[in-house]
Amino acid sequence: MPTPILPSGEQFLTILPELVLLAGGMLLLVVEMVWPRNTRLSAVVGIGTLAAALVALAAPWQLAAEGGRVPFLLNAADPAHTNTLLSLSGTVVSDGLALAFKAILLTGGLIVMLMSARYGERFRNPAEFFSLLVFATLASLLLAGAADLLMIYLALEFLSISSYILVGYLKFQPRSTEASIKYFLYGAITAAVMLYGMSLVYGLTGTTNLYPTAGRDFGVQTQLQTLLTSANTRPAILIAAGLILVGLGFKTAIVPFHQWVPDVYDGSPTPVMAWLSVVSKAAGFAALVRVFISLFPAQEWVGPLAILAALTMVLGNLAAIPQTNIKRLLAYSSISHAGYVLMGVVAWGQMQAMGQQLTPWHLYGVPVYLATYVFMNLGALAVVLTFYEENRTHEIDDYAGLSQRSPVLAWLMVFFLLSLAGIPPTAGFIGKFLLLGAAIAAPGLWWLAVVAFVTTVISVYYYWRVVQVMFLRPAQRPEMKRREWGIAWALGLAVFGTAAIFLGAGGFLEMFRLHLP
Amino acid sequence: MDPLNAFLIVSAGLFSVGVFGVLTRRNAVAILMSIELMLNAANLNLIAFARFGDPTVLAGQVFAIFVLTVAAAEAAVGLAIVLCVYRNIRHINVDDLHILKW
Amino acid sequence: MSLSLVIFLPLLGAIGLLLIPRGSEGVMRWGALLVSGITFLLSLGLLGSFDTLDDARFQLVENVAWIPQFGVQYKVGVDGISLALILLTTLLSALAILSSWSAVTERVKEYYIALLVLETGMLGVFAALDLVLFYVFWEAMLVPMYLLIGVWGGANRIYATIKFVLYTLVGSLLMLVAIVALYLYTRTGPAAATGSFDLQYILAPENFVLGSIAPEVKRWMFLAFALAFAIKVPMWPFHTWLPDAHVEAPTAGSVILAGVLLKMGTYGFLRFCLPLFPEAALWAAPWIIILSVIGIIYGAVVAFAQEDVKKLVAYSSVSHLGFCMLGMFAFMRVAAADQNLINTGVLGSMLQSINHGLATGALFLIVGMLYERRHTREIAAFGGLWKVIPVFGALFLITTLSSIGLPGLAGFIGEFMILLGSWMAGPWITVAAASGVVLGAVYMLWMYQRVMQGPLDNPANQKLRDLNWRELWTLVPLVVLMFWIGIYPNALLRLFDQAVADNVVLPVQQAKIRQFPPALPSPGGPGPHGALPGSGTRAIVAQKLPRRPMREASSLAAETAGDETDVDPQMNADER
Repeated sequence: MPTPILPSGEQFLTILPELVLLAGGMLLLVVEMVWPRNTRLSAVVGIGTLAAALVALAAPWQLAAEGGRVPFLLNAADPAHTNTLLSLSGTVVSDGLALAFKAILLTGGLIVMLMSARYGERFRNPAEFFSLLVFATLASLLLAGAADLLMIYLALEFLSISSYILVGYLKFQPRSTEASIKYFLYGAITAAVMLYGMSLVYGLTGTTNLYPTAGRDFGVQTQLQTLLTSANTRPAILIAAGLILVGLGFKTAIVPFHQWVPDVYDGSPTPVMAWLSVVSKAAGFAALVRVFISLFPAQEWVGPLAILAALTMVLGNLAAIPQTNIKRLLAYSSISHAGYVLMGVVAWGQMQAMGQQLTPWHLYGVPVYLATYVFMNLGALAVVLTFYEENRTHEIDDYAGLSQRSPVLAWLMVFFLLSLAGIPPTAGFIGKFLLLGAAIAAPGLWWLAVVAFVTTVISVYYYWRVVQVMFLRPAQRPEMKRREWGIAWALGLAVFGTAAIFLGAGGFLEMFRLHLP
Repeated sequence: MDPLNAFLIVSAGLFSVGVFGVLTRRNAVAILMSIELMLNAANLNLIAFARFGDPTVLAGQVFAIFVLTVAAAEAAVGLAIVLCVYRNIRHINVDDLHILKW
Repeated sequence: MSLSLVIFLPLLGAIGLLLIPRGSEGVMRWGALLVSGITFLLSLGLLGSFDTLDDARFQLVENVAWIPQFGVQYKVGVDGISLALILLTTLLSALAILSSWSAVTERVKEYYIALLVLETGMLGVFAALDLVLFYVFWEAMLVPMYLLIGVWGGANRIYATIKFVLYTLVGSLLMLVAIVALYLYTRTGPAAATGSFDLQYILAPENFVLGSIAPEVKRWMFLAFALAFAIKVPMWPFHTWLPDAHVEAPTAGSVILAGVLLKMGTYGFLRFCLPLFPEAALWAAPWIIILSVIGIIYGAVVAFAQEDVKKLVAYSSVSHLGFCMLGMFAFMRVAAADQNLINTGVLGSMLQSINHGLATGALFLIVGMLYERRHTREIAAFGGLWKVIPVFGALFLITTLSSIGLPGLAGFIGEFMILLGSWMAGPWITVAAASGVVLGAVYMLWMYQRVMQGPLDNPANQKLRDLNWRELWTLVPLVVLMFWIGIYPNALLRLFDQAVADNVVLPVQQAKIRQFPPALPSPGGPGPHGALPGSGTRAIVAQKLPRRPMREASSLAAETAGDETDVDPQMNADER
């Protein structure tokens, strides 16, 4: 019977970043009480918290690396690693997937926090807003490292509830509250459906732990593998998988669970939209990969999910074309990007279903794409926010002549949009290159790569329209003057990330290498 | 009939009622109530599985207690949001929320 | 001389321009000219360190790991073909910068930055030896070219730019898919573990990469690459973006577009499509020949009807580039039908690429000068200009004559060699293509006559000033080169010869051996791996060509073919 080799004190080191976030979030609430409406101070505390958490991530990283090479995705068939990587009664795992995603999530959270440093001024209690952002990021981290159905559910709900409040944080604005209630209803319903699916899985397997832990030599993963062979239980497992997909599909915004996206993104405060489109989505994908790749039979879900991926790419890109509002445009583009990532997940599953050796394309594809997406999408949204703060508009037509009003901002936008379209020399190219490769390398998924190719061309069309407006239309307003340190830092980080991942792609991938089998 | 099946049938019925309510109700509070039904159906499942499965494992019961707590938190936030909406636009009919293009 | 320095010097210059404060346009102009001039001189230095006789396939190779996990490298190197195109690029870039001295007055800084970044992209495309790196440079040109047309272009530029961008992207993304697929198919031999994007590795016969790919797969990959390049060339019917882009682009943009960007299409065919997928190229040759001939005649006929000088030149490009494609695939056709590989067509097509860059680049410069003086490009608005601006007229005449292929000027050699090559592929092709030459002469001369000769009846034309020193200096180098290549084409042919033999002819030969394995009876006696019939004593199989003594424009085919085709088809005739 396996026993954890981590001493109980060290077990808490595996969630050190989460603990830091928890402390920081609490501290922010105190700040609000002692120095009310002090945006600057609370922003500094918030940024400091996220930066500290990012540093604290070194602890679990170090701990995981001690046992030699860490598998990207923990497998029950690998008892040596189940011992070292699971902690806290088997509810938390720190395998490659968890660590990589935690790095992605914290970076995203940090950039969003920088973006909202000044934005907080408009709220009555800014520190509370920041603390909610910190807590929501904490929830996303928990989701990425969850190794127990209960933990997944709790993290997901924690994530959702914090984001419902964040979306509606402009509480005197009908747009914001409307977005909030739409998000809430959609989220609560999908979470309930997912919970029902989880209860079925629990009933079938008799446990909520995904992996075998101390005191029990079986987990959901091992149990399902035996149950799958029986014709009686197989349909039940597939139904449960479908129900769980509803909840995770909502978080990751894949078709057909995407309808909330444009409205909620449009109505919510721009930093919150940035957070939802990047951090929340990445956390959802972490859970999706863990649940689908390691629990459910790939042979069964690859087909349907491939179709969903294709639909997501097509629908997201087609619906983006007629948009006149930059936030809605980016909202649809974010749906389409979910489709690309899902394509990577499907390719991975296909390799598994075919019993083939995983190639680096499949292992790197999903996390690297999401990492690049953090930088490029947050960069684009930081430009949108900067523009809004001075011009109070999100209409694409109002971006006319931005190249003359603020050349730096216009060029940054071009850079980020190029990256979103996957055109070199940007990080987006690396991401798309890997995902296309993953789809082509997986047997029988050629057609998905072709869909991705066609939709990428479509996406260039609508991204390019923004460039067109910024560069080829005359300016109608005076030069933009406002400078702001938070957004400047956010933009700087985003540019750095987008450029560095391209130029130093080899070194960047090396960081994930720790987790290759 | 196997007593576990009876529980499962009741819970499936409860879940269906919840889904039906979610799909047909237009009042935000009523939708919230239907969601509670769905959550409780899941709870019923969890408890029943725990009761008729391995009696030494309490995971199901624990799960249900957590779900109850989360549901309470969710309802609190949900009602607060409903209240905000009501303050802003003086009704809570979800069909008539269309400031944002649906 | 470091190749990377040549590639990235313009980019460094662009970054330098970024630091110059707004308002000091003069500094920017001189700075940009200086940077591009130095780049040109450095590229001449490359020529010095290049050995035309070396059979190493690629020279001056530089190699740095970039994404080792996927075997992606920063790997650049040149052979004769790419070196010639690099020289053309650096020359035309410098001239383009010189030409926009007075034409561009607003947003000067961005303009020169765009031009310099574009130059780096183009040089990178010609030097890249890694498929991913090639793709990166290929795409990196998109934005600066887009801005050149979009910001400093004509009235209808928005339509033209979006068309340009979408056409280019469709092709290039499909190419990316094919590149990745090729990588996955290279997982054999020494690179079994990962696969390879390294062109040098893939092409090396000892690695047996190309032979292991199924023919159907090769066809698909060929088509994906070919579409990307066909759009760039542009081949009929993918040419529709070209007239729009040319008409709206500023002069420098047109020069670069016609002079260099279109060459990337032909270069791509020559560098990737033919050597990587020779079987598929053999299969597709008839179709591409038909499309090329249609393009030749279509371009010429449509050019007839143009009222706008620039549009006329643009359509003439469609026609001339058709010749390049014809030469290349006529070679494939000959190779398919015959055991002797006569490389006349390929050499002619390369020569035509360079000549077209010089002549059409000069024509666009000339049109730009006319436009600067009169702010119109309508042919009808001119007439009798010779009387006012004779120097301009003389240079215009030489360029026009070179463009229509008058013997003694550059255009003739290329077209002649292509027609010669295509004759071997089928006389009817030559007849059809030659009619394109005749038409070309007619519409160009007719245009020249309407612009420069006749009565000087438009009062607006009477006070035109002749070329100033700067304008003279933008045209003279091109005209000198036209004469030089026209009289002594060996200079270029010598550069191409070994490159074509190593990187085009050899892979095709190997493909033929794959297709018709050793069983074929050979009058010259069986070679070590089954010699090509008729190849005499020399069997060229799965090995690099041995170092050969330099001969005047010798072709591999002429040498290996023995007596029956032992004519020096390109040469001798022209010099008289």
